[in-house]
Amino acid sequence: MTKIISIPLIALGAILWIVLSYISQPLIIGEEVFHRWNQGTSTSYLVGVFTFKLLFTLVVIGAIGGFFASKFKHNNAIRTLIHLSSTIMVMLYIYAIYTIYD
Amino acid sequence: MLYTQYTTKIVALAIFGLALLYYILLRSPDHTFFNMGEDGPLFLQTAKHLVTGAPSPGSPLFHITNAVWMRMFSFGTEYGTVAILSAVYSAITAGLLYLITRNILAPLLWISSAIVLSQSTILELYTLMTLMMVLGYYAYIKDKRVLAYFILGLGVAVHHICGLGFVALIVTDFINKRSLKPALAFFLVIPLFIYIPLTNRPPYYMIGGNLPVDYIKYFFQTAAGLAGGLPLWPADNIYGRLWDLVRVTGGGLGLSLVLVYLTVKNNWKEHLPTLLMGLLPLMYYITTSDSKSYFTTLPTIAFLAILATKYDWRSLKIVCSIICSGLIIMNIFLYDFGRAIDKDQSAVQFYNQLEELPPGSVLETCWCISNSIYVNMTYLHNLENEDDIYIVDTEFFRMFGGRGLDGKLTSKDIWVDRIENAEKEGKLFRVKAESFLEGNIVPASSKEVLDKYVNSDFYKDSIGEYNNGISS
Repeated sequence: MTKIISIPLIALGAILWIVLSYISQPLIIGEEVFHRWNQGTSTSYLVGVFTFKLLFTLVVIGAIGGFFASKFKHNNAIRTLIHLSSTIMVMLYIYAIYTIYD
Repeated sequence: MLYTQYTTKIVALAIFGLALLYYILLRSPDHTFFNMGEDGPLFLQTAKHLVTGAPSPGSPLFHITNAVWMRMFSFGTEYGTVAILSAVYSAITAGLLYLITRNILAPLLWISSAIVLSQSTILELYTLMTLMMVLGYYAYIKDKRVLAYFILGLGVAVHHICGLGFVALIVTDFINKRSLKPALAFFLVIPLFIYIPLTNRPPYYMIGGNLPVDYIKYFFQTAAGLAGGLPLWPADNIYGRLWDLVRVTGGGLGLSLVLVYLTVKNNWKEHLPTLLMGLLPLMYYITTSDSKSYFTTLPTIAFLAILATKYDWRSLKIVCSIICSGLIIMNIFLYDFGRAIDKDQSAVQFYNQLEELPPGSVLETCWCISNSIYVNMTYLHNLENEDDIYIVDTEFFRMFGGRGLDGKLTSKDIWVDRIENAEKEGKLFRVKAESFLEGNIVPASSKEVLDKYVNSDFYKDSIGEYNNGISS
């Protein structure tokens, strides 16, 4: 039964793969992006991108910093550094959002 | 056992050889506007004249390797000689993917990807960047973690995307509660960056001078959403970018994504470093400055290809391998330089037109995506011919002050005079392009150039402030 269902799905997937690969050509050679360059960027997209980058950076800072804080004696100083760098990131984020809406 | 190891290496070597032949047959013999190789002329400058490259972040290892290679070998044109290295790196990556997976599907996915092909046939650094990531990963899974971090550090001396590989490994080590001391080896690459101040000399095309403040500007000055080569915001819309994402991943990996999904679903923790090394560059692309940066997803193709081989569904793997073989044939008809694309060698024609311009001409390059290739080619021409064609270009005007060989043209007044005098002397030109894939040089009037730049709102808002800051 699984085979009966999966065979047409795989065939469909194979066709989609080839079609997508074929229609990627204008993007890859550079023909397409020229015409998209002057398009506006939507505000919601920018906010989303900045939020993602902020969260990602905070997670990386937290993970690396948290590990070091647990390993060394002067963990309070390391924690302070983590808080400081995280605060700077949040401030940069607020500034970035401000510039988007300004 | 010995027979198996021997066979694996022979097959890997055969894959390397066949892939190299495939790329060499399809490669671009000379400068090209195609496949987003806008930095090609810049890389030729760095290889030939050892000047400073683009700030991402300086790519010293890439430039030094190219310079050594160029002095040892010759394959047709100078561009072609250096560009062949992209094919070599990509072919090594294909062989390495087989060594890692011992499955033909991984190298087939890599070789059949049009994105990979596009970067393997021109002078660019993305195949070397991916090779460094795959090499680092290979060392990591062989439990040589110090070496793995060191290789990724070397990778950052090619492109900063390799730093995402560092993040992937350190997160994995952190979750698995392993010592992070080997990660310090990542920073051993720092002395290599001495290349940047050593090669920074007049006319200071890339770095505005030799003061610390100039280096800070080089790495952190924001232009077109970039700070030091790092994208800050995308110049696109979400729908366009999602469509790009579908094409990049779907067109590159297709049905094998099902295998990737099943592998990760089965045991995500075991495959965490592979998954992160594949997905982080993809996230980078989604949030990056423009859609042409698809080349940053080369590691995505490599690492998701590795994951695709980890799930035991033999029939689907065979189907994927067959489709890959078909795609390789299709790509020959879509991406063969000189036959399928760039028949007129438009970039070479552009370079030849530069040679016909009178000395001291002023050239306005169009305000369009990747106009940096016009700028890079003009700077290459200036270096090669000890000529001084001045570039007027919004982006470079702001970033580099639109310098000629004297490196001092940052004042608005100097520019207005130069543009007006150039018109009187018949030395004022502009690039006329209906698409990025062409570039014709035609005469221009000072009014249209000044209106477009110096008298424009854009200039008043940003360049004016920049120049005021310099003059004060």
